Amino acid sequence: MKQLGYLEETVLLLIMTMTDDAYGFSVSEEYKNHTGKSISISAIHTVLSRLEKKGLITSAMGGASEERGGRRKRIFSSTPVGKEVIRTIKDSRQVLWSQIPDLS
Amino acid sequence: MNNSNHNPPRLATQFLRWFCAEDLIEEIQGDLEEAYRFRAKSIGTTRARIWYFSDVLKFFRPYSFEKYSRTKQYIPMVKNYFKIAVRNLIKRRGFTALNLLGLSIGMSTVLMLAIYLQHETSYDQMQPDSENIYRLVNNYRDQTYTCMFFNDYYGSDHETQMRLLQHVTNYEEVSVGCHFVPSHSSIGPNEDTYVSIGEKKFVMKDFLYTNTGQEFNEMFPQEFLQGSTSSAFSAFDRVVLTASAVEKFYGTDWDKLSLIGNTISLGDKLYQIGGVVRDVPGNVHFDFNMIVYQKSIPSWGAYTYLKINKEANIGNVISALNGEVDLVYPGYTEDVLSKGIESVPLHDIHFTGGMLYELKPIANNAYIITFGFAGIVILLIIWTNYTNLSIAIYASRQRELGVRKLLGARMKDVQLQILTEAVILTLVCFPIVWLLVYHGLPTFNDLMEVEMMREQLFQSRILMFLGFILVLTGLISGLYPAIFFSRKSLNNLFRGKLNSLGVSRFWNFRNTLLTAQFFMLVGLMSITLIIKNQMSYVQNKELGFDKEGVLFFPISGKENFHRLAAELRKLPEVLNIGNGMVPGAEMYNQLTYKMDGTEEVLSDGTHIYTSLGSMEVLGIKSDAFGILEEQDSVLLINQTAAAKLAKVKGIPVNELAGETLILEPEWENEQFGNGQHYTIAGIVEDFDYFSLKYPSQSLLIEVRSNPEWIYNVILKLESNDWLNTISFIESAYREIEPDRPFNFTFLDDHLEQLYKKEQNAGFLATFLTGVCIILAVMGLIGIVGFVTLSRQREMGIRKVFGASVYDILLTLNRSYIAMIALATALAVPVSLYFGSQWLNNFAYRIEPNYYHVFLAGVLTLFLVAVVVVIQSIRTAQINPSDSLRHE
Repeated sequence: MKQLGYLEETVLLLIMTMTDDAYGFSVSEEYKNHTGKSISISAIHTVLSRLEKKGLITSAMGGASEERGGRRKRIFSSTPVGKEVIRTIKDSRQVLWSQIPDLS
Repeated sequence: MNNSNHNPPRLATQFLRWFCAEDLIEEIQGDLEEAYRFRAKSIGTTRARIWYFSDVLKFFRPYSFEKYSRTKQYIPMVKNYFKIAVRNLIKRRGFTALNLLGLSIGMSTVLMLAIYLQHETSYDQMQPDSENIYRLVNNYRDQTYTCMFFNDYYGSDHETQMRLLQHVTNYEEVSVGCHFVPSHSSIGPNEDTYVSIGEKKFVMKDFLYTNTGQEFNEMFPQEFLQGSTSSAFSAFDRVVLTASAVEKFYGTDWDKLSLIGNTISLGDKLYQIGGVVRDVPGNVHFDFNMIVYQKSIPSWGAYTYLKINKEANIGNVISALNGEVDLVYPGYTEDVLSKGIESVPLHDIHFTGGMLYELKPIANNAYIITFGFAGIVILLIIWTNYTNLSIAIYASRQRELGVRKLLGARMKDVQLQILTEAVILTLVCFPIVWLLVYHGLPTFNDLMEVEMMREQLFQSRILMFLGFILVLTGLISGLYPAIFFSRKSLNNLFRGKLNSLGVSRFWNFRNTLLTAQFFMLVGLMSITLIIKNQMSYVQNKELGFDKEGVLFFPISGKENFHRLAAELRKLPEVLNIGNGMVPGAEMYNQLTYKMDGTEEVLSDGTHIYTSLGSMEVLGIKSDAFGILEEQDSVLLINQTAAAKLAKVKGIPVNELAGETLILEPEWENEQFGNGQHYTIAGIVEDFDYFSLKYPSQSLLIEVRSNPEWIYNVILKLESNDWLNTISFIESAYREIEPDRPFNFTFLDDHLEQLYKKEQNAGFLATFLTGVCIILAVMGLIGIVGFVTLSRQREMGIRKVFGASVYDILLTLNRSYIAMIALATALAVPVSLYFGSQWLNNFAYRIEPNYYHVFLAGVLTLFLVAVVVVIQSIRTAQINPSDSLRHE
């Protein structure tokens, strides 16, 4: 079972929601939109590479665009392992959720 | 939109590109730029720029650096580089051979020079505690003597000879003291000796006489191959032989014999062999074949050395000695001419000039600098050459590099490949260079009169130096192409025309290098020309005496001289016989002199004691010789002395004859009161008694019809059969001098010997110029071949428009003319400076002139033109339809 930190978990979730358009800058923007906290692009890159090393996501070079000065982006998508891990986390949380007595 | 704000700050981007791993740069830069544009729209460019900077800085961490990079597919393809490099070297066999040849010749020269410089600067460093060893020197009149004298001069007994050492070694700072005299030094007996062992007889020279054997061995330890210090120095009248001397006496199998205790005779005196030691290395300031350990030294003084304790100060020892000097030399302090004892550190002996009677020629700093400089020049030529050649090679291999890049090679990979190839080529040279130097060393030794050992070449220091310099050469020659070609875009590499290297621009990198090379070539060549001209000036200068057919040799005493002279007069070939003065002397002790009736004392007089016969042999004429029929001796002065004396006395030069001259006026005696009084009998034309390195000296020549003190014979011969004449003289000599080898010298050989060191410098300079020319020609062949190839089509077009073969050749040569002209102009001040530095060795010298440099420039131009024409004649003759159909 892979251990995931909070940031890693969030980023992994974000990638799953952002089908086909998850790359460094877009993930950092989504993170900001979602959590309201800003994060540097370099921090996102580090997390992405860590996730990739753990085999939870995979990447491929995607299309170039004008605003990137003609440079290609690295598009990330989750692997089956990644999905499995997220599901396990959700399940184990669910068990805990359900045992909270006074959560209306 | 403002363009500079449209793009993110360049400085930050450059920084990012510098530190960021190559395979990460695209996505990171893309993300950052996208973020920048996004922010520029929302929060304005200024703040977006600040954000961009901070983003870049945040990426400055291990994640972005190479070894942490995501894709680790990078495997250095070193094996492949080797394979490709070797294939390429084999494919261009001719080119590779040319390269290797040039590189090997050049590198061997550099290595040889390095060893030579190391040899020259390592004099006497190998003695243990050598920094604590000092030589005592004596100041007398205006000169410094490298040796100390004995109180009774030649007549000193053992106790008198030891007096100085015994006194000095009593000081507690001094641990050891020793003295010796080499037989062939200026103060030694200076003659060859018969050495007999049993029935066999050998002519030997270079003995080292000492009566402080133990101490000598303690200060300058010898490595004993047979015997030991105790067998060698436990009693007087022992000799210690060097290995090469023993080999001469007993053959190569001497080490199977036990030689200790064997009897050996030098002249008529018997000695016991006390030991066999290794030969003296060349970088020791003295040399010997044999140490002769006997009770007294056959000289008026000796070279004296002290070793002091580690913490002691030599200054204290010297001042203590000078304070008590009268205990050793009674009357020293009262003698106004004795100016005190000094010391010279052992390490400085080889570099201290201007003293009398030094044992070996001292190192000339000008030479050390010049040869070091020449070594660097050759190295620079090699570097420029190989940079140029590798540019040419890779220019024709651009497609290969393109394919590599296409298949994923990064800038670094291409650079690594080019550098690997360059280093492989230079390392192939390693054994070749080593072997060349190994086999060239004896020749170099003969030429330069040094004794460098082949063993030196096995020292790890030398091997590492060679390896280092070769790898460095590889790296430097590959550096420019590595940077230049790795940065070219794929597109340019594939389109890669040969002339995309900026051949059209005249002052491109390559031509600058070529000009630098021509500059060095012209510089070295003109210095060589200056040296050659000076040497031929020295050889052809009118010396003021007759040197043809003049022969001289030593003889012992008046009686033997007259017996031999009587024999020789029977020979019709002998025109004149004399004794005494032989020109071409090294400087010796000078004395003071003054005119009677004046106060001013001159101190630079050289006194010559000679016979009328020697003046006749040398063809020096004077009216005053007529006086010799009535009296025993006359005093002549030369014009240099006459000019000085006339000035002091205040009379014209031609009135000096008949005046009284006083030699050594400070010497008080009963006969004259002060000094020795002479009447000036006449004035002779200046002649070059000393080497032309020194300016004309004041000569005070005492000519005697029948000298009392005779030590040599000097003959004027005229013969059609020299061999016969000399063997007749030799047999006459053997009759009269059975114990002395007949060792004669021709005067012109003797004079030539004076300039041996300068002559050697001339040889070396010529050799170095030769090496430079070979290197330059080899470099040119490569470059010109490449340039003409790249300009083939241009030449085709020129021909279509009516250019002749001659026009084409001129076009190809034109740029070299400009480069050589510039190089010559640059070389003028440099060559003249170094040339005149060298010429400063001579008092009589030519003036270095522009003419020498221009001549060198013209020679270079001629050389280059020949190479260019040979290399490009085919291109010039090619049918334009062939060259234009090229693609």
